[in-house]
Amino acid sequence: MGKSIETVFKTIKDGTFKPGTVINDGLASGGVDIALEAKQQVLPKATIDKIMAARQQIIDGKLKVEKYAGQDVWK
Amino acid sequence: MKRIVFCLLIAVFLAASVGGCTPAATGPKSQKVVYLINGALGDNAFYDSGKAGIDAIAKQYGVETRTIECNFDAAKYQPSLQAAVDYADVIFVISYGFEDQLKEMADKYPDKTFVNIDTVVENSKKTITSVDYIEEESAYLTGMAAALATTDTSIKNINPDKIIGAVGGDTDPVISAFVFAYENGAHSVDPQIQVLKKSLGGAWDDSAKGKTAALQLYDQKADVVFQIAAAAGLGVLQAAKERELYAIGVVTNHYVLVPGYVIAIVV
Repeated sequence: MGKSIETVFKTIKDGTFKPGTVINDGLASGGVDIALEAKQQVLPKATIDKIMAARQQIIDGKLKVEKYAGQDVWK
Repeated sequence: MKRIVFCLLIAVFLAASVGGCTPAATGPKSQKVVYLINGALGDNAFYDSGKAGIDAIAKQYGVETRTIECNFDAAKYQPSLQAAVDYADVIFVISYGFEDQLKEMADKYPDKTFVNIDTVVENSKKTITSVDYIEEESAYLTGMAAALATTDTSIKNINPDKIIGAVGGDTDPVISAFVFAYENGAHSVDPQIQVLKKSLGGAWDDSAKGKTAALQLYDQKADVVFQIAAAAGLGVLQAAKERELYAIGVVTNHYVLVPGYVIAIVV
């Protein structure tokens, strides 16, 4: 979240900030991420590589993750 | 990834200290900045991460900043908002629980810059800008991680059943989005994976309830449980350790709390 604040404040300073808008902050802009490096690692390296490859595809826009749109997910 | 995050933090601090030696950036002169949070600092996660960002802009731009904590106390929302507009030109706010007061205040002070973080809040004068995290992207990856784990019986104590679980603090749209994308990520690995879910019905701070929910999921043959339940999620981690199975956390220090039982972290 700290990174979002810095990014937004930069736009306030340089005059490109737009009031009344919604900024979507995902993997590519660094607003969310996954951390897979533990001291005591459970997942095999091949598994981590697979997840990190998908992460890169999302960042590159090659893999689109479906947005939640109000479905009942608690069934 | 933790290392990458850590390096990023270092980079932020380096950038901040270098920035301190250069002339102030261009743009409107000013500014006083408030970081107004519904909760409290010291969580090693969400709120503290925002504070790091505030500290970074203070160093880089030489602006004065102030943090106002509401400590989840509804009586503090209104006076804290007032204190924020009295002091600052720019207000970064986490407004869970006081969205309506925030809208009113923004309408009353249209010349102030309001940045609402983590939810979308729209006031009638359309001055509030919201930062909306695409939590589906990280949750999708944790779903993949859980699926790849539950289908890999070479990992200690993983059973042959393709079952994973999730414990949410509530059924609100943010937590539902996490669960939705977690399930999609798991099914991208193997469509036959069954995802069991439990909501704590708003008991965000009840770790005993979180633990009970997770134990039930583990006893139903889930071997990985994703917890999106704030402090109650610590109970999920305890359950993982007790059953010698696995959890997915939401804060980097969850790895340290139950080492060997956390397979991934959403940050």
